[in-house]
Amino acid sequence: MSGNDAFISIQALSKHFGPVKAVDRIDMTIGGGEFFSLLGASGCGKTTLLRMLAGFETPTAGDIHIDGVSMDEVAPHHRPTNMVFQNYAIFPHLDVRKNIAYGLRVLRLGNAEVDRRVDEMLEVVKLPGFGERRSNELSGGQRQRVALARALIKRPKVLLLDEPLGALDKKLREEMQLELRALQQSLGITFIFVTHDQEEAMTLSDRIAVMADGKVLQTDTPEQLYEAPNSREVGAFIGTMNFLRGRIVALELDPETIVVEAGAAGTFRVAGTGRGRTVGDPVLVGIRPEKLSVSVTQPADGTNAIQGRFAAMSYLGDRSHYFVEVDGLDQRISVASQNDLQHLLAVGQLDFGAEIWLTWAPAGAVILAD
Amino acid sequence: MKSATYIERLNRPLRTYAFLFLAFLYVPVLFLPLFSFNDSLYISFPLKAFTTKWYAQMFADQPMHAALMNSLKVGVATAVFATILGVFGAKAVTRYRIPGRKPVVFTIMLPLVIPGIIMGVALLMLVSRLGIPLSLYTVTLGHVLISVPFAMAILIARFEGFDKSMEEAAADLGDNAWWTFWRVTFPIVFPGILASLLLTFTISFDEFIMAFFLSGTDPTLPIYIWSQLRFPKKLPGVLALGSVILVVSFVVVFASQWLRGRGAARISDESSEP
Ligand SMILES: Nc1ncnc2c1ncn2[C@@H]1O[C@H](COP(=O)(O)OP(=O)(O)OP(=O)(O)O)[C@@H](O)[C@H]1O
Ligand SMILES: [Mg+2]
Repeated sequence: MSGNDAFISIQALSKHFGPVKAVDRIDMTIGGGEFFSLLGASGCGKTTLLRMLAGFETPTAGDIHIDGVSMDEVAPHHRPTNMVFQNYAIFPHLDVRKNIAYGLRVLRLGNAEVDRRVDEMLEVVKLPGFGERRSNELSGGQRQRVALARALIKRPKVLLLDEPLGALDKKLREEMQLELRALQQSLGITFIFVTHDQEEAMTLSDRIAVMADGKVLQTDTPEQLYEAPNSREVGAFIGTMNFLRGRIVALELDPETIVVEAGAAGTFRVAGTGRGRTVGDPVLVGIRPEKLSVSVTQPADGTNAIQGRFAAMSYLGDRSHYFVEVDGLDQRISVASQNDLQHLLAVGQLDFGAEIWLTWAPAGAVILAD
Repeated sequence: MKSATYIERLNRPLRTYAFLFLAFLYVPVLFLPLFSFNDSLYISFPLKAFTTKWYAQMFADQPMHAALMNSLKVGVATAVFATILGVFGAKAVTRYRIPGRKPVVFTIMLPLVIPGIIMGVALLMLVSRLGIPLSLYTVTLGHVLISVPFAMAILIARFEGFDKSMEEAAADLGDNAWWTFWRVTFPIVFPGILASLLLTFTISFDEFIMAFFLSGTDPTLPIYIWSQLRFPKKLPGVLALGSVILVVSFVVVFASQWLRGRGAARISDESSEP
């Protein structure tokens, strides 16, 4: 994180629509120049939170401070934020140039200066020569760039983006992701980016807030969210995760290890601190599919291994997903393997129903708050 | 283009129907110009000689000119007031979360279904109770009352047809409510405003019942025409006047269609976004 660590601070912010708690007591701090994403399923309150930041919705309770100033009484047209709308909201009665120049009226610049800035913005969003078109003469990706240029020309402190890439096809989307990230880094503007696509959030963000039902479940870097989710919901929302329910049977020091007994999945070791835990506590253990390896013979060391039956597989070229049934577990365990030579030689062609072993390192699993 | 898909293929019964329908609509109207050039006081076949004297008579008819001016004044005033009220009403109804939106809209639309004669009598009673003398102002009042629902209907459709995030975007880019209205809302709803002006003007221009109850010594054109029908000698003059109005109406309607077409080409995709 660069610059001011609490450039935007949100305290106990709520928005209720009648009985619906669209945003429910959210606390959040966002640093200056940060690329911050709000990630969550449809209807979890992302747009509502963004609209409160922009000033279009009045909070039911709570505070928003931007750069140390309370936004409580500040109207949308006076906020240091600009928004890229989910549907772009390009003005249909104006051409691209006039759309981009729209926000310059309040600055009372001369015509020459306006033209210069618009040309510069057209350059930045790679649309030179498109100035005379109207919104119905633009493709989705071009509209998105116009919306971006129109917001950026105001040089806002904070840019709010509501699923700006949602309507684009995969290839264009990936291109625009790279461009957005490059733009954000060169301009140093704080981006708050709403998406329900976890891959997109992971690629772009410095930090991500995972939301559900109007609450924030976890705010962390993409890596931390993936490697150390704090709950089952987060683990399941970001990528895939296998869950094993068990009980602590021992706590070891040096290295710090928690020994878990998990019924059908046997007894295994999880790297992690035992601080705050006691033997006998129930725990939920999460293991990512790629942390598991498949073996056709029983591993020599008896711990951190589950025996199961090969039930299904999807082949994805460079890697494969295996689905393994384990007696006593109601959910299949999913395993991701690189299809490298080593793996192929070791595992070979598996028949459905074949007995196989799954093994993992103690550091490959995490204990989740449940 | 010659490509005839199933839907585009010519359909004989439909064409016959369309022809009969148009004939039913327009043949009676066409008698107006026909007899206005006929050199006879009486409207009956066979036609006599061609003449333009009825037009000359009409143009010389001073009270008729006065009535026409009255109607134009009332029509323009009605169109402007009804459309302004319609713009604000439609904006309020479509943009703000007002409690009881449905009953409000219902109340505004009610004059559409109240018989004109009842509205006229009611207004006359009110106006005379308040001691307001009958004049073109009271006629305008009545016309505004019956025109507002039409203006609202047109403008609500226009306001609903464009995304309110356009207005939010304007606010986001630094415009207050006033500038947002002039720079975004107004240009986008402008074709609707134009349509509303034309329609409300037309409603006022040929309105009879309210004008009958509410006009004082200055008659509007329909009232004047009606009063002239009692004198058979004046009838051909009325026909001439009717023909002129007919031609002017056609020109206005075609002009407005042409304007709408241009407007639509310019603002064609404002509602194409989800
Ligand atoms: N104006 C409103 N009136 C009533 N309920 C609303 C309003 N706006 C949002 N909601 C409700 O608040 C909740 C959160 O909505 P919001 O639009 O913030 O979700 P979201 O996370 O942006 O979803 P999506 O990914 O589908 O855009 C939803 O249950 C929604 O139905
Ligand atoms: Mg949303």
